[in-house]
Amino acid sequence: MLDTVYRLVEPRRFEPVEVAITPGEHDIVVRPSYLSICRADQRYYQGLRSADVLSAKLPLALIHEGIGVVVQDNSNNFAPGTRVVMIPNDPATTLDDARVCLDADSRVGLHASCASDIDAKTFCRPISMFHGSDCDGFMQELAVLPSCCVETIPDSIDNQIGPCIELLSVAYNAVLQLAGGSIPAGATVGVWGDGNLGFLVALMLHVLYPQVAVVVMGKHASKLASFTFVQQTVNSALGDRPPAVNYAVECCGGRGSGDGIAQILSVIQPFGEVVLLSVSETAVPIYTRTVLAKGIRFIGCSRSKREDFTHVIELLSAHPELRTYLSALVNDVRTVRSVADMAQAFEADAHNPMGKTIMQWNV
Amino acid sequence: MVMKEQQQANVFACILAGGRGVRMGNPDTPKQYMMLGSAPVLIHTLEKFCTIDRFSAVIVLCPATWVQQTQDLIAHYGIDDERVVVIPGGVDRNETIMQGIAYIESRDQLDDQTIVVTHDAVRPFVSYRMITQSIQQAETCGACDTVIAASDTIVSSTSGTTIDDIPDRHRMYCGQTPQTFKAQRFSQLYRQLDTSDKNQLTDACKVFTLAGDTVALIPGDTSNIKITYPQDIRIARAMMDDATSAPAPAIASVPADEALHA
Repeated sequence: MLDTVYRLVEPRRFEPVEVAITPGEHDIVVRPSYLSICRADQRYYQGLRSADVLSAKLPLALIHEGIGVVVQDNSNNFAPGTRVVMIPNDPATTLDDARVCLDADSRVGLHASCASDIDAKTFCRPISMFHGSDCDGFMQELAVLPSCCVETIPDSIDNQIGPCIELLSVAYNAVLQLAGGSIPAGATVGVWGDGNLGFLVALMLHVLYPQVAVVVMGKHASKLASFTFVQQTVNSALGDRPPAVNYAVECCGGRGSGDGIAQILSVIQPFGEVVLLSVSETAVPIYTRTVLAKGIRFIGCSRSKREDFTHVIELLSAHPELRTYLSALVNDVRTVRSVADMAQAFEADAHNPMGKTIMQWNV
Repeated sequence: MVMKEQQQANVFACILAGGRGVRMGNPDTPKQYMMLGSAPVLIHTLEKFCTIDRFSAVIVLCPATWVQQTQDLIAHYGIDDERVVVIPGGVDRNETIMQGIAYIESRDQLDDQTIVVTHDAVRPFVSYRMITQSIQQAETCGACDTVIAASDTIVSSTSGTTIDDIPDRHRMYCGQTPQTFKAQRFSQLYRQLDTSDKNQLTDACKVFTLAGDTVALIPGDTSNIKITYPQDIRIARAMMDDATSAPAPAIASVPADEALHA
């Protein structure tokens, strides 16, 4: 079957290309319907990645946050017309292929821990593929995914917040890394970063741990005002000092990562845990003396698994207020009918200080 | 109050795969049977239509002499959608559409709401959006054409030697397919035309415009090219990803050990 894939060929320029796709016996063909632009997409679009990375990755179809409708299912698990969220982290082409891969010569380079653990494979670069980074993302006429990479969405979750499930699942996965997935009541968790990711991490902490104090650190009063559900916000731009925290999640990203980590180290309690969730394009200095003196644990995390998607969908179904908060995060929904519309959506999104830009995919 | 669910119209696809010169060894083989990457043009087109759940049947109308080979190709390329049927077309485009409508009628599924989506087999880059949007428009408007804005100036000439008129290009469009409409209405209007009128028809939507019926427009795409001339295949291959447009035999063929199975 021919599929039109809309690839970024160089910063700020999309081009369509026809690709012959052959869905396998475990594959599902999804018609993307609503797609959300992520900061990671913007780094490619604006050419903010290094020249080497751009040279190696482009041309590439962007977008890893999206929902769609099943149009063909060779695995016979999803009826045509079923609304699904697309899971961009493909641990292997299919679960069966993963087993084949493990048994074949292609296992060269595979980590021993990945060989027996499908979750570990999610993070294993030799075989896992992340759509919109390692392979084409969802800016396609039709997306072919293994059946393990889609999950049904209930009617209670509307189309416009559906694409946010992916980022929410990343936040959910990150929060579960703290304290072995069981943060004790009375603890204080600090979230560094007042952007979309910080908002969703704080939201997950709020829903999963109502007995835990959540404090958000940021630099923008207008953004911090959106965090109405947390115990405290701290505006560093005003010189406010964060309180002591037991756990921390770093969501600053970019050049703010270093400052955020430094501040975390200054206020976190001994034996605290820190999840690093955002991306820095350059090396970030870390004052290791404090890390050693306090016995701090750092956990790197930026991906999510199918079970995270499943749990997030359950949470969204059970908590109407969670859906309302997500709706507030969606600040622009644009119908995309052409390559020109795609570029305009990315340009508009680049100027949004916060919130998600959703593309209603109609090309 | 209990709302009565509105019954959806039956929707059929008619893939127009006709053409002359369909004899074994004829160098002028219809372009729908030429290879484009890994499969014949017709197969690419058919696969896209099979992704649309609304179709009750996807009817491939091909020359009578090529029905068996078309069925062989469909089987060979793994299209096991039971909605696909292959039947002989007519002597020209609109007669072929009438053959498709006659087939729908033979299934007792033709009524005044039945919709038929007609599409050139030699337009393999038709998109999911075009097909679904075309159906939606035909449901509300009765008939729908797919067009792109004319990029060249259109010149009108009766004699073929001098210009009669140069219409405003901003009002000119180039017709593509799908063309989608209420099947029974098309059949009724077509039967009312005399032979002279029928001979002047180059497309199905004109049957509606001649009768004064409204025909809606939906945007096509410059990529939705019609593979008419041999060089068009080269253009089509150039539009494809390098990895999937590898050279292949010029004409589709079924391997000897798989061909002509019972």
